[in-house]
Amino acid sequence: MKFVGELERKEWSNLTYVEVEPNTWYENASRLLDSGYLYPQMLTAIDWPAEKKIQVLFVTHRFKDSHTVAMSTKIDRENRELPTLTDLYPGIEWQENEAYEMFGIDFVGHPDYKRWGRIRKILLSEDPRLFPKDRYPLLKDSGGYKNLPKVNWNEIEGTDREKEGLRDDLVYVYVGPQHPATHGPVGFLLGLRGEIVEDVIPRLGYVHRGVEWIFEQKEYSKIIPLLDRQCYVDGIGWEIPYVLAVEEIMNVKVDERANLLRILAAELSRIQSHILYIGSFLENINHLTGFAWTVRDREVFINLLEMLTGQRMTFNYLRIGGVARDLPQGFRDLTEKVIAKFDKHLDKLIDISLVNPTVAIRADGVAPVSAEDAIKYGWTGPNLRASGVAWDYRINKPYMGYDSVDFEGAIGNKGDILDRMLVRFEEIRQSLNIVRQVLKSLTTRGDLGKHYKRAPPFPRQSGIAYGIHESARGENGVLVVANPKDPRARMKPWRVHMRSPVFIHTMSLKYLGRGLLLQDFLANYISLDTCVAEMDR
Amino acid sequence: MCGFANMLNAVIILAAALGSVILAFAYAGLLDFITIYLERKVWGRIMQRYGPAHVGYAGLLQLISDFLKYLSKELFSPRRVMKVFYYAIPLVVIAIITVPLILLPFDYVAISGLDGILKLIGIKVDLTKYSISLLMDHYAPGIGLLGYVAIVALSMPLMYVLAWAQSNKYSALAAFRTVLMLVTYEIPFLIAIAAAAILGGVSIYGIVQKQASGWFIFVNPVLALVLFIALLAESERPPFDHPEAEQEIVHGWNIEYGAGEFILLYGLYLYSKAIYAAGLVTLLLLGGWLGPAIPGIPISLSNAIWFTIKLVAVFLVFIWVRASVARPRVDQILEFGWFKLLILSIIALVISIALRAGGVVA
Repeated sequence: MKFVGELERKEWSNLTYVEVEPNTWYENASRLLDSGYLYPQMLTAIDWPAEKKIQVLFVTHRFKDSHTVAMSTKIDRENRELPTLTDLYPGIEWQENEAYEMFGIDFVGHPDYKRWGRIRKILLSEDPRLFPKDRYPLLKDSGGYKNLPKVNWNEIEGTDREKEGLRDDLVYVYVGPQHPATHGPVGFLLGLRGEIVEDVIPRLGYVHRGVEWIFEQKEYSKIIPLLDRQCYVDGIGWEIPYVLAVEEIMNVKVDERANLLRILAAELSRIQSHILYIGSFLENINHLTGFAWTVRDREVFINLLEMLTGQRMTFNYLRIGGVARDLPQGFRDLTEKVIAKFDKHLDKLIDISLVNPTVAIRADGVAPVSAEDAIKYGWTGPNLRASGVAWDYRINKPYMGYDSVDFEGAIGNKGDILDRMLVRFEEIRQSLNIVRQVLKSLTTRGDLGKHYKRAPPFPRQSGIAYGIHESARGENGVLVVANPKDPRARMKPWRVHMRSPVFIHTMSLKYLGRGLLLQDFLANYISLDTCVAEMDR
Repeated sequence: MCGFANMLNAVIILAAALGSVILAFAYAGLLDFITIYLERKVWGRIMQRYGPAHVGYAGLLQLISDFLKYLSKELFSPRRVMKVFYYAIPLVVIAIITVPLILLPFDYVAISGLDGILKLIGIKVDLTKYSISLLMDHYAPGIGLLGYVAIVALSMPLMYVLAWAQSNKYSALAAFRTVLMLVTYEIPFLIAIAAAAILGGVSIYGIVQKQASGWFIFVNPVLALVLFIALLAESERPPFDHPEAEQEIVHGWNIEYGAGEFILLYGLYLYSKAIYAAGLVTLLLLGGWLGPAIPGIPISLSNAIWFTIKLVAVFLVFIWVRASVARPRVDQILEFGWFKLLILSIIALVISIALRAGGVVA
């Protein structure tokens, strides 16, 4: 595809990187849309104080030929302004919000201007008593999250700044951050008419820890244990994209055996995450027996992961260039036993959940999302596939040796809650299949344990890479920027950005959650598979 | 007319009747204890966990320890509520919900249990005739059943006021849902009661005696289905727990109350309602206290035992239902109530009339 004002073009391992002039930003985006790049994957920014520039990066997929483009532009650091892309790619709206609060980039024409008169902060507080108003923490000279004002919580009340944009004809109810259905400290301000949700204002950021800033203070290998903690259910899903990106910058080759072990860990993690997903949905519609059963079934897979990685939830298993440890003795036999037993449990689980009429009426035909909407709002993973889009990053763009295993993707057609559950059930089956295959091809003798030590601890030359992994919740993307020329970042990354699918799914409820009953809204929210730690980062 | 002997007789009856009321309370406490313990244990078993296991033998004293702990908590009220309503209505609700203990023959069962035990140890007295519900039924047949219907019909508006008085948006939603539940099941419930009354008369004692020849659950299974579902809904047990709905409106109608009121409202009020529901199923469908005589045990004691066993069995079905269903949407509940349950209840009524008029049931 031809770009206007193209400055630079590079082929990365998984995408084409194009740098354009800032004044052609919007035009190039609309050209991308016209040539079939429908899917807004990621938008973020990188600060380059030495050049007095801020680089904005926009990643988009084309499903037809599985091609990905990263369009980038460098804007003036003093005058941070860009036209918004939300009218082309509605799913980019909240990522622009994030780029605004982290870098202070003013996206002209952002939808928030219409309702609030300003771009809203999502993760940081809008109250200057809690977070300084003009501080954009990811700018290198801003001071980050250090020296925040001391807050006397006894005196402060009412820190939310949403009141002025509310509609008069609705009753607003705070759902969360302390609410049994939100499964973590996240909130919604719901405008209700009767019990029908007419207006949704997601309220995030209660557990925002500023990890992207913390990553910049740590050496490359010390970031991996922190990544696990971003999603405590599917931790491997965050280690993989980071490691992939760093390996691309450093040009490190990974053994086939290490790749198989990574796939093994990723799929075991996916299985237990999906099982918990089914449980949390059943819990949300008050089917507590199903929830208890899923917790029991998940336990055996956590035990397997503990045996493989040494940890139950925060694995710290991957290393740059390999994995931390080899397959433990007896793992294969135990896994076969566990899978054989779980197969029976899975049938029972389907009996109690999908075959159960009281569950089926809560899921069937509820909150359907069309394929167009799912693509438009940037949905990924099982939720996208439930809407009938055949896009699985493991299949469409095999990475990390996924082409060596034989499996099928799951796909729905209506995009309702039932389809989302069915896709997850099918993916559990396929992942069990992958685990069996991987264990068959992993020979008992391997020389693992040395090769990752051959990889250098940090890159010597600057570079940018974007690792994408199809995790249990969607496409986890991690952007890693290395800039060892700067003394501050010799052994540390210059910038790490996490593209969280949960953040995008939850924010898209702003538009997709309207018109549902309160009960259905919450079931819909849970059916998108939530994880608040990852949402807030 | 008004001789001294009559006066003495009246005083004896008064004392015995008061005794029967106290016995009924004790019996209800025992039933509460059994059913809540069973609910925790059996449901835990279904969920593949243990349930209470540490306080007392096999967790038997867990309920008592919870009760004492909750009562020891601080009483507090939110800033902007009307204190009178906030504190008075739970007491009114509790007071009203104890009335069915003598409207339904719980006191009769309790006193016949005592009577049987006394007979076992050799004291020959006839205590059962002092049961207050039996006396009421003798002088005003049907007061028990009708009174019970009136009491539960009253409890729902009270719950509306209770939820509204907390000035919380969630409890307001719960208040609306209470009315929704009321219009959903109250009419089928009344029709089902009428269908049972057509089969066996308005007197509960009459209905129970009628079932000596055959339990009404076999005589009119449609009636059994409607009555069971309506009673499940009326006692707000899952899948009809919409006013409470923890995952949506966070225990809606008692959201603002602390532990003390919680144990009153939730432990006493809701479980009393559930026990009455199970009792009514036992009385109207399962032959009440009638059952085969147990050798070596007086008939009055075996009556009490059979009634308790049947009631607990019905409650186990409640637990089973709770463990296996999810909560439907409010509109689905409304649709079910009006387009399925109401029609079924009318069918049950017609069947009852046909059975009675055709002479199948004498």
